[in-house]
Amino acid sequence: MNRYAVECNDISKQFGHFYALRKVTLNIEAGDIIGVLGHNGAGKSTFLKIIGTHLSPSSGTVKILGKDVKKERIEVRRNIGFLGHTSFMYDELTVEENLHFYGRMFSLNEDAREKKIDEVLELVDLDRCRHVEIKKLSHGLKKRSDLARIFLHSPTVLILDEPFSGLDEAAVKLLVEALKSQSGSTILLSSHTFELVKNVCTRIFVFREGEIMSDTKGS
Amino acid sequence: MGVLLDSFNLARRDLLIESRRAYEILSTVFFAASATILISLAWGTPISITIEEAAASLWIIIFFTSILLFTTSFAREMDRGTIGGLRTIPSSPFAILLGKVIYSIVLMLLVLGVLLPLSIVFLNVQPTLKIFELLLILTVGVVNLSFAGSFVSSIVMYSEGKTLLLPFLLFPISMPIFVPALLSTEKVLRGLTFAEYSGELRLLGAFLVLVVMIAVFSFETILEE
Repeated sequence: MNRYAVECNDISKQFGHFYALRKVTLNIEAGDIIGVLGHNGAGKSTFLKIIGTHLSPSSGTVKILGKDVKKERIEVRRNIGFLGHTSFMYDELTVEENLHFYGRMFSLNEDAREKKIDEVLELVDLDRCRHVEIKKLSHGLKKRSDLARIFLHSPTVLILDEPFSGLDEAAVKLLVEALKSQSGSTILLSSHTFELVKNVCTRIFVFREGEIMSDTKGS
Repeated sequence: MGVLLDSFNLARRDLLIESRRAYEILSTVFFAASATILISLAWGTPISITIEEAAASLWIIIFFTSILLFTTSFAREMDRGTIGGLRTIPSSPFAILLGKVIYSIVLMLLVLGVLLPLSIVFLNVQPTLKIFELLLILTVGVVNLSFAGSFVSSIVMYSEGKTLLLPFLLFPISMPIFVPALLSTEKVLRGLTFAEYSGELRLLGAFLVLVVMIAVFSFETILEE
């Protein structure tokens, strides 16, 4: 069993001449809730996308639960749940149909899928909308359906890029509760808002111009 | 087995989405039908259309109809942001491409299902005993076109001008499909034996292997943001 859920060693990401990340090295212990703060363009999303296997680092290595994100990408993906800026749910499908699709892709058999879908919809308080097409949902409800998606395969590492953006107070509270209920999972979430992150996270990284400016303990 | 199962699941999802947007596939079928009738009218009467003209017309219609399908293939995932979802699933990148290929093949076969009876009426295609050979060649051509088209669609999905780039790139790339498919269609319509058009089928097979090889080695990089 690895002590660290996430190990980043000297990772940089370059787009042309622009460095989005510069030599970032950090280790995240299993079960930690990590806040990633920073202004726009600070490198938060790039960092989370590299950990989430959406991007490859230009240099350096990243390991999730001891597995290299470049070499063992498929295995890594089985263990992570990624919530992006935009919804990954399909507009024409209902919440349930979307969850069935993602469940199938994560090799959950039908019985396990049914059970898990009931569970995650209850967790995000979206059971009443399970037969509603995604395009008919409000922004907040769409975000909740996306949250249900990331909990579906019981990932050990949750990566949430700006999960609070566009949510009202009640939805933020629900999200915080849902995250706190994931005991044992390692969670990384980015935000602009220090207050929100401070109350939820056990450790906070502040990014600036692609580098970690500070690494502090949270609540 | 995992790759195939993942591909079928992806194709199944795309087809379910397509069934909820039936107007799009209907417009594609309507395009194929109207193009057939217009070509027939342009040549006067169906009876005056030669075998060469019928074969060429069939493949021109198939090519342009396929462009309508490929412009939405990966582009829609990109425009709606759901491409990110494909980057989260634990499937091989090739399975994702194969899913789109299967989806395109199913839709193209649907188009063929309408095009073939119409071509008997409007393009002077004779419903002879060779109809199964004709179906075989059209299907092999469509499979090739679906691989090439889905791959090109994935390459251009990041571009703002994807609707222009797709036909621009697909046209030269599909030439090795278009020429042998056209020649073999013509030979089948003439009633020639399998041995006489097996060379063209081998060419189509070789091109398919080439496209699959390129896709296997490069699609992971294309899919990455």
